[in-house]
Amino acid sequence: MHRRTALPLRECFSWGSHNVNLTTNSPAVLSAAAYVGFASDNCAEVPSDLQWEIVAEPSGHAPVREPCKIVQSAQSIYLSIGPYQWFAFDREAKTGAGFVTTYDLNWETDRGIVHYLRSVIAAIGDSLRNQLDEVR
Amino acid sequence: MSSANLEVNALSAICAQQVTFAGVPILLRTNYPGLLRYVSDYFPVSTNASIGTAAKVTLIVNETESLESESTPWFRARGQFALARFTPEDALWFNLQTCEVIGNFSRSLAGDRERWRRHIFPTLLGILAATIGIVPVHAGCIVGKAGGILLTAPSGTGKSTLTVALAKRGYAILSDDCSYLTANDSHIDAWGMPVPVKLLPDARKFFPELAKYRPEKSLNGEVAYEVDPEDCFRIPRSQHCRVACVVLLERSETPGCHISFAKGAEAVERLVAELEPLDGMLHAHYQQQIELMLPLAEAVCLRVSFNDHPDAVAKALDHALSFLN
Repeated sequence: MHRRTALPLRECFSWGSHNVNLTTNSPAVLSAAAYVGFASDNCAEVPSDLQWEIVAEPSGHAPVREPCKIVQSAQSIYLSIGPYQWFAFDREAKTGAGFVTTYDLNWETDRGIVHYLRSVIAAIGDSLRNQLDEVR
Repeated sequence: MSSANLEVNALSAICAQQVTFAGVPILLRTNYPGLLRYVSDYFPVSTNASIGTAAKVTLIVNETESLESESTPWFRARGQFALARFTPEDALWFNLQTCEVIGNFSRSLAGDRERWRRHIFPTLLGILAATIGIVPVHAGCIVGKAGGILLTAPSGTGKSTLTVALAKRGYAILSDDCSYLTANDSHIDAWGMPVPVKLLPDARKFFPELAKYRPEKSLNGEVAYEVDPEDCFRIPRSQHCRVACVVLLERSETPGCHISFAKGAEAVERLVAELEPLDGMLHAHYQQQIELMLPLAEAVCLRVSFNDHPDAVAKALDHALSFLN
């Protein structure tokens, strides 16, 4: 199931009223996070309420903008962005994990990963805003 | 129904049924009543509605057609989440922390009863098992008068071949490859699924019954015979038993078959080594799986080192097991 892929890269971000602790094995994931609007933060100073893990896998081909399909329940949101990319989010625990493809794991930037993250934050962002409205 | 954005709780016309697997109650919901008929192939309907369910499985069928009915399945998991994709249109999503499974399937795959029996239900239960108190183990299991005999072996040893050869000597077959263990007071129960027995092509020389079958590509891409043990070998199936004995199978360079007692702790060690390690939020479930298997250390345990025809090994092991009766 590829559970054991090491994710040695970690960065914390501010995202609206939330703080995201993002771990990954691809520098392109971290740069894509900054590109889509996450603001880099100090992990030691700011506790994160969103814990996300994103595993990058080499695809061997140029990035493709795949359509995003969403399946959601009261508990979880599941996104697939093409056949080999997905992200899942637990609404209550606010944990998320997924897989993304990239041409080369050493790439510093990847347009496909930017597209992937935009799809993720569009879907998750709606959920988080709805939760905030319910609390109010 | 479009699959671009599917909100499960907003669907109407969902039918629900409480079923059990390995004695564990599961709530099954679907918008496609035909699937409930397949379910009865697999899971007894629960008659005790007052028991809470351990997991919720929602299987949604939409109007798409599967474009690649013979795609190789693709599995990935991270943290508490897992995805089993059977074709680009057909997938199971898992949140193992909340014990929730959502399946999104095309109409064409929904109608493929054999695919559900052989691939989809085993995958669903295999991934879910760890978090609902069931331990999937890489072991065959046959059932005799004294109870179940678990047969463990490294891959490639010939476990499935020996399981069938032994079962032909008057046992029922519960599994040839993957058995599901649950705790029952101070002992262990084993459960099986109604899946075909899988034998590699060279098994043909040991079993003339395979002559009327053709090996085909299996779920993991291997070419193999996948046959119903009742139809092919006249071996009855068993779905559930109490484990009485564990057999450790090993290939030997020395011709023949040598059987000796072994320590139950070694059986536990071997089974634990083949569990999928779970960490993070799921680590407690992994620890519970190990603890569940500890009573097997007190079970009778035999070591079988062999380099012989499966029928000869089965005969020797059958004779050795007769003391259990």
